Amino acid sequence: MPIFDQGYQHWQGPLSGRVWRWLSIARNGVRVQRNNLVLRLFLLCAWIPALGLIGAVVLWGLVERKSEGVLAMLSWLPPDLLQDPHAYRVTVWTLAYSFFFRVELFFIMLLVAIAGPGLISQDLRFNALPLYFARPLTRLDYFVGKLGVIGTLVASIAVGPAVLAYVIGLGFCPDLNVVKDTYPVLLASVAYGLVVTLSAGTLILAMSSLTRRSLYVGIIWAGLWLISVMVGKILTEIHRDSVRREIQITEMNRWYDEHPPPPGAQLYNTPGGRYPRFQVKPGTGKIQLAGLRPEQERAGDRWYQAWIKADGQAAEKAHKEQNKAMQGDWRPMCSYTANLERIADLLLDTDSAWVNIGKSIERSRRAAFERGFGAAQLPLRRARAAEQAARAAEQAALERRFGPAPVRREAPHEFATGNERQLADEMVPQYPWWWSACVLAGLLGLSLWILTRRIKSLDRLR
Amino acid sequence: MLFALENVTKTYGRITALRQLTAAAPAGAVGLLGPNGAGKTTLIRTLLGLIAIDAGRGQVLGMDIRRRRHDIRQAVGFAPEDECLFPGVAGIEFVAYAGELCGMSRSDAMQRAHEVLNYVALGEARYRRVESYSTGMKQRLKLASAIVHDPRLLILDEPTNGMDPAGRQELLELSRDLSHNKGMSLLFSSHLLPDVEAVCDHVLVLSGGRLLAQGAIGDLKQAHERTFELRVKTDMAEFARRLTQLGCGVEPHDDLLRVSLPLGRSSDLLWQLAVSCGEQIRYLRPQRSTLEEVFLKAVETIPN
Repeated sequence: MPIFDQGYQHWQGPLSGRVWRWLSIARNGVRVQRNNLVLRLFLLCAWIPALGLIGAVVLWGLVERKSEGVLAMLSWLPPDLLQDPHAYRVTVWTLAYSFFFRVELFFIMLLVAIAGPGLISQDLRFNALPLYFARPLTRLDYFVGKLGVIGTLVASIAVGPAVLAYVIGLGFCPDLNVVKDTYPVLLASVAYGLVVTLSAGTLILAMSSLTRRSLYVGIIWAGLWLISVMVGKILTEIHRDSVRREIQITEMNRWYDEHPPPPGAQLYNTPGGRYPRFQVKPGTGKIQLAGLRPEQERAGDRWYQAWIKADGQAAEKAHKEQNKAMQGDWRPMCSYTANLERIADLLLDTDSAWVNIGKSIERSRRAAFERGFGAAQLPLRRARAAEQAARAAEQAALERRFGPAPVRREAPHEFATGNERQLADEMVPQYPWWWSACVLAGLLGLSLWILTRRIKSLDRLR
Repeated sequence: MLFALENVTKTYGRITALRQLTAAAPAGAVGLLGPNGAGKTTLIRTLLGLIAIDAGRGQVLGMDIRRRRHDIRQAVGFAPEDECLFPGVAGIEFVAYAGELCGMSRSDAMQRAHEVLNYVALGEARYRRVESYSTGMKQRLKLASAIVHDPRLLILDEPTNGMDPAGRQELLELSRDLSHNKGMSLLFSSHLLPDVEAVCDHVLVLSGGRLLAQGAIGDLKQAHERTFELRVKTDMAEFARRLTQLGCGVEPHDDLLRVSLPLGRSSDLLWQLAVSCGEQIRYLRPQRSTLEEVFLKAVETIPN
């Protein structure tokens, strides 16, 4: 009988277990997204930062192999890094991955904006839910399947390239200890991918469940992302600037009270504090205080030099106080992506990596200073070294008595002197990581609540 | 037994969709009849375990509707009344996806999808996106997606809605073929009595959440003892006049006469009259109730 005349045939093939039904939903979702040309082009572009990451780990592998060309190219790095690159392997890899994920987070947000809005809204628009739930599926299967679409796409542009870069980096390292040294970076990358998938995925699914028009969902998502970033940045910068300025003004006002300017010198008020008025001396081109008589010039010069030094010290103190204030600043949490970045910094321990770089830079600076000023600074350096040695001995005594101290993220603060933490304070948010975790957990809870309410069973009267 | 429900009650706020419904249906082709708002869709959702009932219990294919909902849905194929689509896919992907959701592997689902689409006569259109389908094509697609995993019970909810007469006829033939020749039980829900009559052997009549009548269609369509359908050879009008004179009720119906005999008389009266008139009776048959009459009679029994 011809095949087309066979009519209906029974089927008795194998069926997969119920725990894998969500995978069918995820696979179908990815298949549908693959048909989107815009998405395919975007995925290509999203791989560009991965090339930078791969380049960074490859370069460092060549540095460890003492490749002359690479060493010459990277001669601008602190000498410590080039003399003992193995000791800085974890630091460099950590920072490379940190930068990669910061850049890639932008692409992830865009990717979610392209692929996410239609995941549930299209099902609502075309009334597909009865087709799903008339089959042996639960709501959990449906949600996890849809989340799997986001997870697959995030993995393809973030976690996948990170793992690939890791594997390539292994190949360029001269010893096998690289796995033992750097596996936390790999684990952190995978964990971060999961965090982003869970957070951004549930959020976009919740938004997608609110309307049948995916365009509105895309607009809401873009608004949440961009507006929250702008608000977070503006509030943070305003706060930082106001803290710094307040400290600087207070310090300088105290200094002015203790060291009044010579009679005749003028101080003018600005929003940033009081400043002396200067003039250029005709004939010599020298900068001096304005309003002084000729016999006051030398006193004016001495006061001016002292003012420069005090202004620098006030700026340094203001900077330190500003960094301290940032440890309790909640304003960065207004930005959704800043919260995700904070978790990335936690997982990768970026703070320690920056402190290591800071220490290396400080060592280089001290070495250069010693070469330049040698014996004149010897007593100061000896005193500082003695202080550090005393602190280390005290810590060792405590550990002998009470056991090793628990690993704390804040430990580097105790042993790193001021300048050594400068980069870490600038590059890594210092407010507690669990604040961001709470924000993300709250958003996750809200998203799950919305999803549960919106994707009800068919228990409703039509 | 296809399914059995006992004292099932389901309310939505102040509206009672099912009132202490007790019904049982044998395996085979079962029709679910009722006007709009009778509770047909609620009954179907109850059978599939899609909604939580307020009281009662039931079984579908021997499986409890409260405890084995997912097993029931694995064994049942459902084509809903509403227009329902998986967006953004072609017809073949639609049906294959439906198979994958039931646990079939991708390759099995794709092969099976082609088979069932051949069966429902959806040819090259299977490669087009489903959003471009006509209503009739969408109904066929729904049927195909409902049978892709070879269910033991197929539930069709108003499957001929919006179809042209030819398409409707084909769908009814497919439904009848599945239930009578392919060993698949069928629950056919419709408010179109001819459709149910064409496909089903057993019927449940619902209205206002209650079961009004149930049974084999042949049994429900009873033969009337004193009503006959009659045709004579020459003068139908004259024969009708003479029947009226004898106290019979006469009603023309197409090319026949519907004759209601008086109490205590049998069909012998008709033969005797024919002999006395010199007429020949060319057609004589006891009248049987149509399904419509059964339905209307059952609905009339509802208290206001």
